[in-house]
Amino acid sequence: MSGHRALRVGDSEFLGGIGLAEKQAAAGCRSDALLVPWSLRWVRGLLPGAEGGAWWAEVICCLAETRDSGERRQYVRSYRRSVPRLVWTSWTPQVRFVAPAPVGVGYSSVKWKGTKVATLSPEEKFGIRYGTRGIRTVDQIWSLLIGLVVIALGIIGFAQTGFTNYTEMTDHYILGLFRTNGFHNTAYIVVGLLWLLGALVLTPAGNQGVNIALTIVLLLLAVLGFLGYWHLLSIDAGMNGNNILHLVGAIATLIFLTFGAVV
Amino acid sequence: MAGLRMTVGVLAVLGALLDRPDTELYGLEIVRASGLEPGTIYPILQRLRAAGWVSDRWEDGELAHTEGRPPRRYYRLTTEGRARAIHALQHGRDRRGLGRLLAPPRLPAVPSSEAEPA
Repeated sequence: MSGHRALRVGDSEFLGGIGLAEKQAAAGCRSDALLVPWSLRWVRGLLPGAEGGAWWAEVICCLAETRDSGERRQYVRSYRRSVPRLVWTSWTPQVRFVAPAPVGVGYSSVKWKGTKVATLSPEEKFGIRYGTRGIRTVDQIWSLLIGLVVIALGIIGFAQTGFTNYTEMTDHYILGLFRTNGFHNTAYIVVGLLWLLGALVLTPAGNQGVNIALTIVLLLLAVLGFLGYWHLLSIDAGMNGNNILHLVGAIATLIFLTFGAVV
Repeated sequence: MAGLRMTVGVLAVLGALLDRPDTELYGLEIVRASGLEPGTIYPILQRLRAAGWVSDRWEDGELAHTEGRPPRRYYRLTTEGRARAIHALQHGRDRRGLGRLLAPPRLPAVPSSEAEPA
């Protein structure tokens, strides 16, 4: 142990493969691998080969020795939550191969594509809000409002259509304006939840990403809707409430995501 | 060498390893000693290992097999890591908000030549 040295980028012992002992350990764990739920099995494939094997063996070891089923579930959830950080750490040599500085010493100048990696917060890395609450930008207010409206439309729509003729053209209208069916109502709710995700869970940058994606989706819906390709959603061709709603929604979202990313 | 921020999690893992500096600890022991979850400590140990603060070894497969469990991966602080960890914890204890987590640390004596890590 005393002869240990820090492994470095490109070190074949670290990156080229796990050691013999680790391979034996991983092999010895096969009978216990059934303890690991399917939700964690794919994670191994996300890591560099050597890391994946070592991580897998350690997860199996930890779960095999945890007798209490409640505690084991808690640990599985913990492993699941750690996946983004684990993948990040495993694939970022600039982060992996530097020593932690003593407390009180400033951040390093570790850079990745011109950005100081060490100073990035989890928010900046993943676009998911971390330890903060509340709306921050104008376009997040837009996302919140439009998300709530769209979910309301979906709920009102289901009150009209029920779950019959789920993907058929129907004669049901929301507020007498927007023709709908069950599939269309489901789409309303899913899109509304995406908007709420952007407003309440993601960072402003993450919300902008959601708005860009939804703008493209709404534009496609509007254009193909005008041409009559959306009978699956109970949308008629030509000028009608649905197509106009999609077009207006796309333009408004585009405006907000372009000019509204301010506090 | 460039450094990273010393997080509460890193300090907790270092504290757990320093509590028994002459003993190798495996993952589950560190989980219980640090109060952190296994998904949290694994990336931390990965970083500390890559930085040379912590060394690791896999347990002999035969021994584990006779005890009817998978082999464990044992971790311990290296000489350099021990000195640096003591230094980090002494500073970390003074920081607001960390006292509850870190106090009272049972810090072993630091060899005089290693008291101030480079």
